[in-house]
Amino acid sequence: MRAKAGLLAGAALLLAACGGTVAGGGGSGGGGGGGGGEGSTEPLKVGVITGITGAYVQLGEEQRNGAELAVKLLEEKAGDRPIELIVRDDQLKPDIALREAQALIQEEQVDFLTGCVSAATTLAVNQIASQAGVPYLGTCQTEQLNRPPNFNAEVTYHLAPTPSQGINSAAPFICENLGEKVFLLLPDYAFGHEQEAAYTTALPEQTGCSIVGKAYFPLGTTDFNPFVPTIEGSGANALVYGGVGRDQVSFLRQADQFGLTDRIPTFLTIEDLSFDQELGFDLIDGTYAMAAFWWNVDDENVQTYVEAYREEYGTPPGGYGVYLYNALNLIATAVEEGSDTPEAFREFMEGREVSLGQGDMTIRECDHQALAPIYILEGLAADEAESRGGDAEFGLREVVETVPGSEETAPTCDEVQEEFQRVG
Amino acid sequence: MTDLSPAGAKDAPVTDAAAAVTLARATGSAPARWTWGQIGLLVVLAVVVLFTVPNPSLAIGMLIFGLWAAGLNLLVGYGGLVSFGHALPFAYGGYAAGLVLKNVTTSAWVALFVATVSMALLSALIGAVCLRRTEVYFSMLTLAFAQLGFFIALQWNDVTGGDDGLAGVPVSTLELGFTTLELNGLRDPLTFFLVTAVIVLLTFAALILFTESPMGRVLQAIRESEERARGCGYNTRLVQLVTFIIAGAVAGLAGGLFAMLNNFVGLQPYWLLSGVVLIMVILGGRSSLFGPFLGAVLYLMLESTLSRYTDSWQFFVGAIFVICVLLFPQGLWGLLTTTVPHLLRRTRGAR
Amino acid sequence: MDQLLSQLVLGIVSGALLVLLALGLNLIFGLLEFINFSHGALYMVGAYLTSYLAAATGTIWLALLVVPIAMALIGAALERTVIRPMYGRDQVDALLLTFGLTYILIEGVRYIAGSGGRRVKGPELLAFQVDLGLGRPVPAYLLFVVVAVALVVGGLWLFLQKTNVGLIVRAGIRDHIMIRALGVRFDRYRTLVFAIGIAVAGVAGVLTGPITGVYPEMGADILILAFVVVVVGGMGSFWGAVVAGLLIGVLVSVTTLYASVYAGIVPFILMILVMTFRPRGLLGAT
Repeated sequence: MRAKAGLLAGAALLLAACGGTVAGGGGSGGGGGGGGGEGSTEPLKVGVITGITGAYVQLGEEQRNGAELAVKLLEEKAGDRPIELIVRDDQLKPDIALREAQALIQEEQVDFLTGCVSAATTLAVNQIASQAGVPYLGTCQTEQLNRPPNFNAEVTYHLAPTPSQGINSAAPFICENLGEKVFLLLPDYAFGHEQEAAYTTALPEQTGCSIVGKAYFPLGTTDFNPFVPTIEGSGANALVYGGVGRDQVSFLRQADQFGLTDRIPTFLTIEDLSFDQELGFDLIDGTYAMAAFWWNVDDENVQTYVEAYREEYGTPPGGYGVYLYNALNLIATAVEEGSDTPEAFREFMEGREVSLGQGDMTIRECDHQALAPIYILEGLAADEAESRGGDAEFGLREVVETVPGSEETAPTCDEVQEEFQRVG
Repeated sequence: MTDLSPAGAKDAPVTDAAAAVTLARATGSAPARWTWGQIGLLVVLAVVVLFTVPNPSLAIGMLIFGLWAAGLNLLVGYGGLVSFGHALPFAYGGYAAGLVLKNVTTSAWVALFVATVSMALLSALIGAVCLRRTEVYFSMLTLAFAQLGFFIALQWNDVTGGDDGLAGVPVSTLELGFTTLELNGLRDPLTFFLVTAVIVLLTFAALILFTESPMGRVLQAIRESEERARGCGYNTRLVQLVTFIIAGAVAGLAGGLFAMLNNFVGLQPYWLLSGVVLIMVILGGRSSLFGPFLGAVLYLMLESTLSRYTDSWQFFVGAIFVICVLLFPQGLWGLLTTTVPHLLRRTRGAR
Repeated sequence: MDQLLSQLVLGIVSGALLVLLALGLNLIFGLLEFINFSHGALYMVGAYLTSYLAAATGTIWLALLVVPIAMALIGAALERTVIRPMYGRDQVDALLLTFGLTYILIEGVRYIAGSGGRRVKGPELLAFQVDLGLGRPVPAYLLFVVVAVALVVGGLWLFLQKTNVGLIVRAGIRDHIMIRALGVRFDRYRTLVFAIGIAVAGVAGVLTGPITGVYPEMGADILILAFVVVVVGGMGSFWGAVVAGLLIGVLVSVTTLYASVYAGIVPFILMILVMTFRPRGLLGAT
């Protein structure tokens, strides 16, 4: 009996020695940031968590592309350290994102975390990163990541714009050029509610501009026909549509069948090349959109990214890969300069001004929010696009206005501080 | 049999001998000697998981999902009541525990107690409505309630955090009288694992006790023929309701543990998760409590390993489902109970 | 008032597509006693076939003819291979099987066609709008969908009522043991009914394409709604599925007008109410 127990204990020790299991490697959790120091040749491990399956697959795939492209262009090295990219699928589910974040930290001992296409998963990953002290660079549009209670100044960074940042930039354009009586058609989840808050503040601030009606559509709606009479009955002369991906494609297709987009100029809160492609470029004619990235922007650094992307993947990039491209570049530069601990990385990031895939960008100090330009885009028909110097194959949206990133459009640092104090 | 067809549509006369055979096959159902052996198997499984699963959070998740699936099998396998909405008690337990930890106390006892007991009460209400119907109607009603729950969680933003999820659930503490443990799944997964394992084992044992109790036996009799059971003077609706409450409470407990593990409660489409836990049950085999546990472990292992190698991992998961259902009608449990004794006999014979 | 009428018309359009899916589910469930959770995925496959055919021929007319036939063949093949072993087994096993099939179909399609959706161009012939006197014109294609669904439903009804095959199918739904005792080769009828059910889902796939486009997960949400329709209408009730499908379509549409947030939950509340007060469904046999 004793021999048996001894054998069992021995076997257990042996197994534990293999490392990484709950029993074996558990104690090392939270030690992810360690490793390296200047001149080290330890691999730099970056974990990417994004939605490779689920409703926004194209955005997730694009993020993976952006990250892999950056690593390739960096010749897989950050200084002397080889970069190791570990990509995990969160299925767009927060509990899977949590699990994968924990796995990346405990099993792989990653030095940095980045990636996300939905707010729920970004908050989940941020929470784990925060507990473990591993820097996390969020890459999806949400107001929540760098606000209390989620923001942790030691690890949290937000590279995508917040919805209000974009909406404040676009509000003047909507009221001046599209119409002063606006109808809001928004998705019934956090992203939609954040948009509502931002639009209801920003639009009435423009002279003569007002919101004449709004409607929410439930998650996963593809049948938008019932919304058409509601919109037309409201007397609106401009429509703001806040859905993402498939919702947007379905909506624009059905709106076109009703001739709605011809009668009421439509503005999209979020635009992505992959949605346009799925929709068919002929249907984006007559729609407007804002975006934090557009492949046809006339900027040297943007074009470096776009050309490399086209060469690698055969199509111009959509809007989501660039955040990962930027994230990897920022991380690599920091590590190259020796800022590879979370504290040094924070110092490196705060107030940093760089020009990467989105053009000129600042990471401001107070909430680690990236301030980059917002582009207002007009959708053109294929023939019109060509005559305006565009590309008929990838359809065209033309940049009609560029709003540089600034304190003015994002909630100002003073406002942010106030919020932090209120929450305590 | 867990028959989902419209009642009375195909009541064929069956001889008593045939009924006895079906009864024996369906009930068990595991041979009697396996019944309590399941606890031993669970201990072995927990030890294997502890030493082989590289991701601590996945390992703990396996215990939690296993308990959830085992509880659901009380309804599905033992009661013949196929719930399409078992994500509801799990999610509710998560919110309840998360809110208690966040706003009231960080005591794990209190959080889990509230999650379990309040879910039991809620189950009594939901069960009272759903159990008025049987078969597929019961299934669809549970689905409707799960959908209602999802809708409330999504809309009641101030409390649940909507689809952003309930973030910032603090690390809980477990008072044991002689010492106080901190349950931090990230920094000290071993403690979390062991505590979870003990809770899961005790609950699992209680579930087995229930299936072996007179009421558990009546439950299985109702599954075979409700009329006959009623004819014997049993209050069949009450037995089913008690089962529904137990299954709900166990799911609430599992959900509470899951919230403590993640320090976060996420919201995801209702029926998907209900479907996943049901699949774990069927994959594992409905004729035992350990089978679904094994099903949960296998499913989570497939999901987490395959997804690292291919984007199309769901394709292979699907193929495995189809192969399993065609080749092993009794699920993994059936495979286990037929092959293991066979192997044992052979080794013994060889000796 | 005009607005309400418009919502009504559009609700009927949404409901019509639900009716097609629900009818197939209902028939299959009635005769095979088999809950087909892969119905939504097969509908998606039909829609994808349409998108390729429409891209090749420039219109959906050919697809309207070819896709239902192709889907019927796929359905028959599935029934003969993986579904047949399920007869006589517990119906929960069918869940695992059809869940598995759903995963395989969705991922298979994604592997072949990519994760992004595909577009289906509506017929040029119907690219105009009709003024129904509701104040606002309605796209002709949507009205065509309603007409097409009505024709399929009518055809199916006549088939079940007027043909010998239909007679046996109806009898089989009532009591298949008796039918078998009468010497009918019942397995053939099971294959046939499964094939028909899938073909009808295929028609829904063809008609949906130009409205929402096609994408791998398109079958998931609508499948759950189709189940709700079957239960609300009454299991095994042909006209129950039709009435419930239209009713749910209209209810959702009207809710959209007044309280859009509740549009998604309305069908489930309706189901709870119906189950409470009319346990066998609106038109189900008592």
